[in-house]
Amino acid sequence: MNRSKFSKFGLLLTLLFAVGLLVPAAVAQGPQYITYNSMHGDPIPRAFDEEMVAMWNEAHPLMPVEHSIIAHEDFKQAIRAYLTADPAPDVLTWFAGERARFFIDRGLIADISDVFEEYGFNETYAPGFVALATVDGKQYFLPTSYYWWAVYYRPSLFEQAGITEVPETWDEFLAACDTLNAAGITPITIGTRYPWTAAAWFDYLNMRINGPQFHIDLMLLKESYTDERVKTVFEYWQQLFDHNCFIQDAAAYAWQEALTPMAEGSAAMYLMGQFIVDSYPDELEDDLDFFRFPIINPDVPIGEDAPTDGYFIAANARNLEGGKEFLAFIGSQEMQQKAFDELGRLPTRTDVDVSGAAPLTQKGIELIQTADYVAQFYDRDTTAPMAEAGLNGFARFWSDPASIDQILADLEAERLRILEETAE
Amino acid sequence: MATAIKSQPLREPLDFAGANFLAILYAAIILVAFIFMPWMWTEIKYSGARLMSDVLTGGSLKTFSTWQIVFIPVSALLALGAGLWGLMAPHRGALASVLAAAIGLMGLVYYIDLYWVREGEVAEYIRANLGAGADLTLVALVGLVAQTVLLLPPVNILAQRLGRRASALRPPVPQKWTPYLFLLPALALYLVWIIGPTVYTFYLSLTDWDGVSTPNYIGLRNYRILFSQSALTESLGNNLRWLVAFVTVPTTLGLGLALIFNTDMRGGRWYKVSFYSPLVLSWPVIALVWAWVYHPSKGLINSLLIQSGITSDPPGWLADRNLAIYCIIAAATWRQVGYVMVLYLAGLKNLDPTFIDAGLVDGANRWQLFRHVILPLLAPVTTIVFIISVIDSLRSFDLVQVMTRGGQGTRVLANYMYIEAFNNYRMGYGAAIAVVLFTISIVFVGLYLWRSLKDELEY
Repeated sequence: MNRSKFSKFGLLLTLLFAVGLLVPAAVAQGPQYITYNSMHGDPIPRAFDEEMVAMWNEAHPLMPVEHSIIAHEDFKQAIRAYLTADPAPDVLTWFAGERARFFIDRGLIADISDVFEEYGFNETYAPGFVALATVDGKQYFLPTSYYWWAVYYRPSLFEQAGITEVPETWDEFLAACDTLNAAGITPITIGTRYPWTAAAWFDYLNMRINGPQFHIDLMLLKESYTDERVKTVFEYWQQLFDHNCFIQDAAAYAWQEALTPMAEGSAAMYLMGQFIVDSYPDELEDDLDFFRFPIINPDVPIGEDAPTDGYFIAANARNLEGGKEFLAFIGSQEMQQKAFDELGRLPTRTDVDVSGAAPLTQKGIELIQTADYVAQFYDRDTTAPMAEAGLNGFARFWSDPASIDQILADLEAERLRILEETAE
Repeated sequence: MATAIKSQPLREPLDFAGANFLAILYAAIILVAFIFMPWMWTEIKYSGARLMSDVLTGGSLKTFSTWQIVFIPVSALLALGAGLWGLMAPHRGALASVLAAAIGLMGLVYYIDLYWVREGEVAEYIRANLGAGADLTLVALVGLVAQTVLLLPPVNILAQRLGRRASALRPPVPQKWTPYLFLLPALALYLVWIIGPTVYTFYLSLTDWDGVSTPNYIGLRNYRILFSQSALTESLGNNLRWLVAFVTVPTTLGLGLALIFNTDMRGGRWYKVSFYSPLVLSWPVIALVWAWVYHPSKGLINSLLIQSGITSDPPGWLADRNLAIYCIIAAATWRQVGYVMVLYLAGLKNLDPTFIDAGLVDGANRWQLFRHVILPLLAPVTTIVFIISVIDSLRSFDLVQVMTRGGQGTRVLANYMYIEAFNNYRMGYGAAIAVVLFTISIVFVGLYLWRSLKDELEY
């Protein structure tokens, strides 16, 4: 009996203590740290990201950055939960264009005009990128880097098959595929398990056949998917299947896995963004080059995909001031120079020294500068539901090309539904 | 004997259980405060455990503590041990109490270091922003030292008396309330986490909620759109394929295996374990393993097909639109067989052997015995297996999500719902799919409940 009575007494005592403690704890000073969620999961960008945070933490011991890295595909799905949470994470990575507009229009993103003002970003950033950051005269997005898309290839395999010049026109491109096939090399590798890689083919075929203006109107849902011009895109795409250009069973691979045949020397080309070098084996990097997606209709302006990445701050951020300081640090000349030197991402600032760049990077800069129009990417230029439907449609076309009419009818129905919903 | 008792002075015996109990309590408080309470600022995630791991690994919060923080969990665990030892060996109670106090002094080293030794801007900042967890731990450590006062006879007696006084204050609770009082927390949680969200999902399915803006009521439009989509047909069709495969293949295979392993065969236990072992793996792990097995160029199946010379152009399995869903179902079946086998084995063990003996006496052969005696007796198990298979096939999600993300025509309802709600940000539409899935499931869940309730009443 004694024992149980003691326990009750002890419990009473402890509860009294606990109550006395919680009162002062509730009035403690607000937190002084910055939360930063990023989606740089691939090893090299990830290491860069972590180093950037470590540099900040070293310089600001009392305002450390809490860094979480979330896998790319998961981040894209979680962003809504992050932004609507209260408090939300302070600084987040994201994509420029329609993808950022969606959240800005819903008031989920903090106005960072004062950062642009205070740190002179309005002058030091290229005007096109300031425009990309601006909605209704205020800046919400900090574009930090962009990269180009192109047809990457292994020159040694071209040589082995007897191709001396990179293809510049569609006929040359198909001929190159035939030559490679004859030499026992798969012409093009691709991994469509996550079908966004297939969207690059749609972007480029559409821009090369129908021109960038039609493409961007289609992205903005102003043009119809059942239009004859869209059908033409898939007819050209079909030619690639007819010439056995693509690797077999592409749908089984993620994009990184599809690099393996290229590294092993059994596939020659890959339509991919510049970040391909992050996952490409270092020892083979001398044997990697790229060329502009072949011209199909010489009469239309040249459009290129050059997606811009950057950062924004959640409107619900717990530490708005700290977040802004960290953003200014990310957007500083030093960090952009570092990102350019180490990752080869093209800077959005005009004061980054690009003269020491590798020849491949110089070539990439030229590729974008000689383009007439720069698009972001299929799933960044069009709305999220349309992008999802489009990507699924492309994947379906890939495995079942005969059903193209049905696919396009479904896409058109989806487009009309989205338009109807946004009209209300 | 009676005289011996009388000769004792009229004082109660000292009892150190209270001191030991207090030591355990304070140690537990320290552990809870260390793991689940903020040590800096006010958020739970900045707990002592987090600070310690950042100090040890050089994480981003490493500045906000020192390595001495290791003393805190160590002393809590040691004090816990001392207290338990004292309770289990009452004649050592006093020693355990002193030991716990010494351990408490060790934990206090951290605070002495923080308040008197460390100087500078960072230390001041930490002192100004300590969280509730750090404060509570300090008090608990002091308590750990202070519980030794119960070793002093007058205090010990006083505490015993106070305890008796306090326990007399307990309000009387009628006996018949007791079960409901115990049920109350569970029911409240169930209401908040299960019933509430279910009802809310029904409401959301009638709105156009995008996860961000305020939901607008739009009537049945989500359902009208849903029932005109080919994606719904695809998902329902796949769920149906899954269902048919699940109620036939694992059921028969599981029953067969159970019949085989129910005999006392050599090494039967090991076979049982090996068939049951896939159940230990979580669905995503199974999905990853099988995705590799199905890998078109380097996977197990295709390597075997090519090397054995059966075919030089094997199918792409998951990359093949016509095969993908069956590949996924096959992987699911691999796991389900073991589950069904265990259910049937349990059923067979519970069979009354007299029926089988009677059958044998009547001259039934093995097949007749199985067909007319064992199978009918297993009917309750078969019903349960059937219903579990149906429910498992309806809630399939993980395998599809990991293996194809719903590509290659492998969407199932749960998957379709997830993509629409969380990928396309159409929460209202996703809720409508969830309601459809719920409606189909509830029929089978109802059957299952009815069946198991009936069984319970029978036994």
